[in-house]
Amino acid sequence: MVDAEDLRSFERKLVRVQLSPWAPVFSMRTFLALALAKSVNFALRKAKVSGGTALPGLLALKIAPGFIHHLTQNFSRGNILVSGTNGKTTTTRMLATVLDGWGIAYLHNRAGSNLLRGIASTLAEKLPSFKKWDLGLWEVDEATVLPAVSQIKPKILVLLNLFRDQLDRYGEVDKIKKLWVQAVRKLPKASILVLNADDPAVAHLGHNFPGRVIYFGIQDKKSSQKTLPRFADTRYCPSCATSLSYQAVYASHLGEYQCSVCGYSRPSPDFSAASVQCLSPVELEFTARSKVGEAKLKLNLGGLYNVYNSLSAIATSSALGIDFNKTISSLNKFKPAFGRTEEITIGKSKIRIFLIKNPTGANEVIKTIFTNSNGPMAHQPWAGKKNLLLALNDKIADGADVSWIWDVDFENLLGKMRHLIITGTRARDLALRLKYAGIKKPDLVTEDFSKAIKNALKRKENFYFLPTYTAMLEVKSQLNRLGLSREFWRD
Amino acid sequence: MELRICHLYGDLMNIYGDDGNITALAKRAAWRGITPKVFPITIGDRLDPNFADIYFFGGGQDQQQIAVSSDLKKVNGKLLKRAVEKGAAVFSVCGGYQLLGHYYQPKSGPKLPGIGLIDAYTVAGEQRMIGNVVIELNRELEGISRRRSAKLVGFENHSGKTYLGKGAKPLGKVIVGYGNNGEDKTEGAFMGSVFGCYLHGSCLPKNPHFADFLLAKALERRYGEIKLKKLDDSAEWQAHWTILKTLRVVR
Repeated sequence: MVDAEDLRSFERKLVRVQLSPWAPVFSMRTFLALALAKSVNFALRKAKVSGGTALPGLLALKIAPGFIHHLTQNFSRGNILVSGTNGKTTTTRMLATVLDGWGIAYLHNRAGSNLLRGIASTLAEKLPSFKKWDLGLWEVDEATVLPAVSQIKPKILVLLNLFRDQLDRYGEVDKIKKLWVQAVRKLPKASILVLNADDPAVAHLGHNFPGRVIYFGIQDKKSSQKTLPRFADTRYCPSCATSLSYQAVYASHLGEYQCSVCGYSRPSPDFSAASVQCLSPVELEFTARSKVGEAKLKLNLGGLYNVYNSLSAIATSSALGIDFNKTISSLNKFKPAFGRTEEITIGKSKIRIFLIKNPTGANEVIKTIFTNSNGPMAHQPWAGKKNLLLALNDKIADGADVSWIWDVDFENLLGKMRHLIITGTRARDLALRLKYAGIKKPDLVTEDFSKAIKNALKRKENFYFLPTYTAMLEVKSQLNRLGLSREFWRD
Repeated sequence: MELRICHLYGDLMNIYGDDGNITALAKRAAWRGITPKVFPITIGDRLDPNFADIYFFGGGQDQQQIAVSSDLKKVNGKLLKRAVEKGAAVFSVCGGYQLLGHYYQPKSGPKLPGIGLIDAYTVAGEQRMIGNVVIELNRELEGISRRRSAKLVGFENHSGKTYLGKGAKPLGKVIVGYGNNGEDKTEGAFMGSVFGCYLHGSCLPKNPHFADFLLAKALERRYGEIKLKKLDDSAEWQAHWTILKTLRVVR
């Protein structure tokens, strides 16, 4: 028989084990929300509903507004938030790879929902547990940075870049910038800001931050373009709004800049990239330089934008105290996320997926696709015609306004394509854009995804697939049915 | 034959893909053997009122709109008015359209003066008006072909509410969307050869009848009345009609 003394000590032990990964202040509401979210999660999995990774979180937040706050405060190494217009998913996954290599146990909203509900869903799924989690690693949508910072009070905030994207959601690029200024003000002084020095608006956020700021940027004049591209948005001085002058332009408005009026200039990067070599659409080499030394990176990813993504991962790892060389070796083993240059083989066709979302991203992807060992297409003659399958959707996650396609330099595809297939809910708009780019009539224009895929596959050739976000999910689910691609949320 | 397009403040007012309108005008001219030439004007430049056939003025962010308004106040506003008196056409979208009116009243702060080329004024609204737009062309708009469609399609994204005065006529009546102010079902405006609207998309590529109408108006300045050669607009009309069908405006 168990006496009262034994029972009390047994209960104490039980409570200590169960609660140790949770916040010390623990509300009833959060508990109920957690219970409900877990039941919903279970039900969704049983019903085999695909992609329902945000519903449990959404419900949890409705019941307990403090849900995310309570469940993220007890990690021994705190939380990292990663945001930016382009590159958040890839950067967060690079960090995940580094953390895996270092043996840190972390929670990560891997399946892709980067809104508050996505973070809440991940917490609901993994907590409570007997495993001790050291860190929360969160990919965060640009418009969600402010509430996320308020609720999570992260140890590290990583801001990659700010480009025009989904203006129908955000209204204006400046609106996001203003939200980020407020978010930085809410950061605890002990937090660390990791910022892209090459982006004037982002770099400026570190200006008045009382805590530690780590900058990353490219330092490789050979990779620089001659002028700012037509579609570059933030080329104004964040201090005095004058047009900035650039000594080097790497991509869109990213580069080495200076204001001739107030003297604001690009901060010196703590982590920089030199000797950048874009070898092919899926291979990149550069030398990462830091105060502690330098090392060569050979990535299984292409595109100049991935230089920035990996630099930000290196900077963030250093903020965590992870050894520089260990970080480099982890990144060299990195495998890209679904839809971010994943390669799928179907019969005789290799399909390489490059997600497109906004003018900067799309332009960089086009350059990357036609990269060969002589360098990105923008600088060197291209190598061989490629087959392209383009898919433009206008659902909420893609952005309902497709005007942005008129700021993509599709003219750079002229004479470089063998087969061209266009699909998506706004296939006709995209076909129209390409007509005005002077491109020959596509092989097929159709809103029907399965028709488009079948047409591509029947040619038994390699294809580059450039979809917007939901178009990529649609095609992936079709390919899943053919049994050829991993289920995205187990990725 | 030549088409001279002046792109007003294209380096600042370029956030919503409105450059597609310049692409449409230039290509539709080129496809007919007319040489298009595009001239940019930016802050600090002086406009030549004798030179361009058509001026294009796109949309931008609030910050940039303030900077442009300042520049227009100096001398370019008057020069643009003179250009219009001399027969030039103007096509403006969103921020550009607002600046062609009398003024823009932001939520707080002083009025931003416009040029007054269109009898209209704009007031900042509480709600942002975002979404697909379909309008029925104003019957009073003469010279535009309504054979394939009497509508214009586009996408709007603005918080400014524009109200037209007696001198300006609406470009069309709203069938889907908010239009000028979400209240009176008007969208856009025109006065003589000056046109403005809130249609992004870009507007002209998927409204080829409107693009050709503006093209003819622009060429009229130096070449008199022109009959434009017919083009194969099947891609344009497919884009136009697909939107009408998706929005259930037609079956």
